[in-house]
Amino acid sequence: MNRFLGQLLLLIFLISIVGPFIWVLYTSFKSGANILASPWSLPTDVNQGFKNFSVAWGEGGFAKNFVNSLIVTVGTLVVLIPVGSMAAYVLAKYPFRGSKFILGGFMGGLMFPNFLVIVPLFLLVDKLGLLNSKIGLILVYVAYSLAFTVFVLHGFFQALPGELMEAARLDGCSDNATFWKVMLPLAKPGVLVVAIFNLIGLWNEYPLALVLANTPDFTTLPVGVANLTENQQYAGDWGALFAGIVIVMVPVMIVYLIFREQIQKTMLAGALKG
Amino acid sequence: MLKRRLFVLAYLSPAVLLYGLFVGVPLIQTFYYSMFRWKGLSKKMTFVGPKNLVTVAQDEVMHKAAINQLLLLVCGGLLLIGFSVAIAHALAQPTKLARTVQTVMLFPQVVSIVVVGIMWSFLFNPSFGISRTLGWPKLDNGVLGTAGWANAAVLLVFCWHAIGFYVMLFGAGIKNIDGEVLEAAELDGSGGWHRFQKITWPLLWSVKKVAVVYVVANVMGMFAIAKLLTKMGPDNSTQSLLTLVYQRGWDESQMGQAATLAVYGFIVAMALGGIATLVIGRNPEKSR
Repeated sequence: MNRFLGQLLLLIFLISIVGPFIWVLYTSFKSGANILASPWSLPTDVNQGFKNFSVAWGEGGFAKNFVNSLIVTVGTLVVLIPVGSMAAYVLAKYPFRGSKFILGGFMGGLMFPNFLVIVPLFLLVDKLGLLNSKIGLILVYVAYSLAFTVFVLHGFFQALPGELMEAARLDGCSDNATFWKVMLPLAKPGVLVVAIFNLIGLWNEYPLALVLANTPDFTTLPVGVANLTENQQYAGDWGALFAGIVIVMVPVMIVYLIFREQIQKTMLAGALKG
Repeated sequence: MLKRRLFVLAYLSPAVLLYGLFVGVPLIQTFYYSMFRWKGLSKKMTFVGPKNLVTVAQDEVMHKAAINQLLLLVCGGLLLIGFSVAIAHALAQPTKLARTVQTVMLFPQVVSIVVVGIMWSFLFNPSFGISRTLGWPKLDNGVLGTAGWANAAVLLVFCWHAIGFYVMLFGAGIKNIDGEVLEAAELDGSGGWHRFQKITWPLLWSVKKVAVVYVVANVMGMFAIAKLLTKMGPDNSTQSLLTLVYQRGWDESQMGQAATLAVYGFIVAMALGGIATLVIGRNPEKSR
């Protein structure tokens, strides 16, 4: 491609990607009236920004939603990572009759949008008395994150040489100790990447949380901000709404920028392998 | 030996039980529940057999949703693949601009899709959004409140959200093409568009296949954009499968119909997967 045209294309692409984000970021420092009067102008009064964020954080319910999101995300990871890596390890290193079938079952979960099973899932969670609870959402999130987690970690464990396990065994390690002391530490890069991926996905998750935990005490950030916009409760206070969006998006953007290379590499590897 | 079996069982069972209970069982139950008529959480379920399948198949809103998803699949797929191939080509030049683009291009994908939907609903807001400033298009109900325009907005936001991944995918594909092959083509007088058409595009076979599978998955998973950007409106004109499942089940308490829609969803997902594999065909490198 013509070099100049290529660079021009990149420039347009760059502006169209970052533009909306930058606009939302600085608009969160403007008052509702100011947004309506001159939507593209830069903020003039920094105090207005503090006001917007404190309204969103307090009256908007973002403080509570933030804590809920944090508990649900971290809680899910704490259960998911050991459960997922143990299963992936056994499936990769202790093949038995039916282990391929089980792996296939996990991979099958990647083939369809999980919201399709929402009707029975909703009834099940309700029957267990876990509707509108953090535990319920955590258990469902663990289950729905297992497919991807087992899929990626299975690959990592398979790539580790079996001789290491033999050596550990000759040194008197039990199967259990071999996993925790030798194999899991070796798979750490994979575990880290899987954890970051899930962290981002869980922090952002919307449809399941919308159905399974949608009372004010249990809403996560995405559900909270969506409800706020949909109810038009804050229709007058556009500034606070923009601030709310910033609260939801900035944490993941920071995590993404820190781990960008690993994230991109894993996304590609996952896509090209599957 | 028994000890090892117990070890395997202990390691595998938490994952299998959780996955089976919350994913496997509901998956099968979806088909079962699709055969009942019942409202929300009430205990009264009436067995109606395959009647729901007929009702849903004749539902005009479902037709709208299906047409929307199909249009999104075709238009979105073409736009995404076309643009991302072009951008990936431009990115092959290691300039500072290219590095910046590579850093930020996944932003729309890593922030919550809820944020994406709301952000663009602001950009399209008739009282302070883009169209007010441009004075175009002049519509009584704004871009998002006018059928056709709203669909175009959904298409745009859908592509904007997803494109970074496809750029990355085709970038990797282009990188993997043997430089010598391209040089040889250059020496034979094949350059520019001709070389792209005859050499690069066919050699991108494996990534094209992945791209099509992901487009299908992206389109089938459409939920938050339709719900938050256009509220599936105006008059259901931006309805999609999953939002309709939600609407029937939770806004209208027609759980049986919601499950039936999901059954159709499974069938379509499997069929599209099959068609995608057929359309892409076999690896041209292997067939030789």
